[in-house]
Amino acid sequence: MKDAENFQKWAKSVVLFSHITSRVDGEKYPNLLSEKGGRGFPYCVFLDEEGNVLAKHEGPRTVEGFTKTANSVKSFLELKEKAASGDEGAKFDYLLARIELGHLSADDAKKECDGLKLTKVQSAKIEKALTNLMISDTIKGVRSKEAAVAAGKKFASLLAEEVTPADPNSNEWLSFMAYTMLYAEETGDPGLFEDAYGRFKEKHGQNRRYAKFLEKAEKRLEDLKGSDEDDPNDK
Amino acid sequence: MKLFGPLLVLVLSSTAWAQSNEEKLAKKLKEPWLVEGGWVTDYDKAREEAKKSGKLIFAYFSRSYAY
Repeated sequence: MKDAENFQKWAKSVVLFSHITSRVDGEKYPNLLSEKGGRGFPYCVFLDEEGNVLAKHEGPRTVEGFTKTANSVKSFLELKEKAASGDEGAKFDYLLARIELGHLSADDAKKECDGLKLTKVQSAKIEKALTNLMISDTIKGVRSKEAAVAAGKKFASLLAEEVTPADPNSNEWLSFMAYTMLYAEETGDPGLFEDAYGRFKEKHGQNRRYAKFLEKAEKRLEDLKGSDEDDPNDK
Repeated sequence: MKLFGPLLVLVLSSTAWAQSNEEKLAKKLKEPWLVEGGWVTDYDKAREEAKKSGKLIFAYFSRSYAY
């Protein structure tokens, strides 16, 4: 009861918006979840008046948690003001924050980088953020098996260079490995499959949520190795 | 005649499926936390309110079709 009261007090500082994906004909914004960076339910974000994502809430769904995320929004908006006033350091931090929040496409981000004098460390951070953006955009674009395989092909190249999404608990990381496995399966590459599967198992093998997925993946790997051994071209 | 039973089940279940998503949404929209909590369920209205009040939008995404 206290939690509900505290939430109502906190909620006076924001506009509470509940989007319900209903799959009813004529649903007004059926893809709003994915447009705002969500991949599953429930999902909480802070938006500005235009609907731009200012912060994704990833902590506990408590007033304390929401307040912390709301404060990060304030920091972002302060950064925006500092960047607008000409602060070079703030300009870089603001650009990086916008890339990470998905406000900019990779092309627009690169154009803005051209206007900044970046140190090697800053360039590396931007490069990493742009790679994550590319990964995220690729995943969002997957609507068919063909697209998933194509995504896996891209990710396989990144994996070979040890480039993966930073957070192994993120949907990006999970999809990255899953699509790489799919590509490996489609192209008959047990080595690649085992690499992606091994990484997935290492990070999430103890999580019951992924038990069935890993069990099936192990079977897929066995089948892949089996068919690889049977390849007449190897004889 | 042999096909009638399974066909009937198919028609009834597909009809029920189309109706049940709407019913599920209607049920969800009546939940106390939504009705009494001051939540806006229209994205356009939420943005309008944010513009008028100068407040951030706290967006909570859920679904009704999986009930």
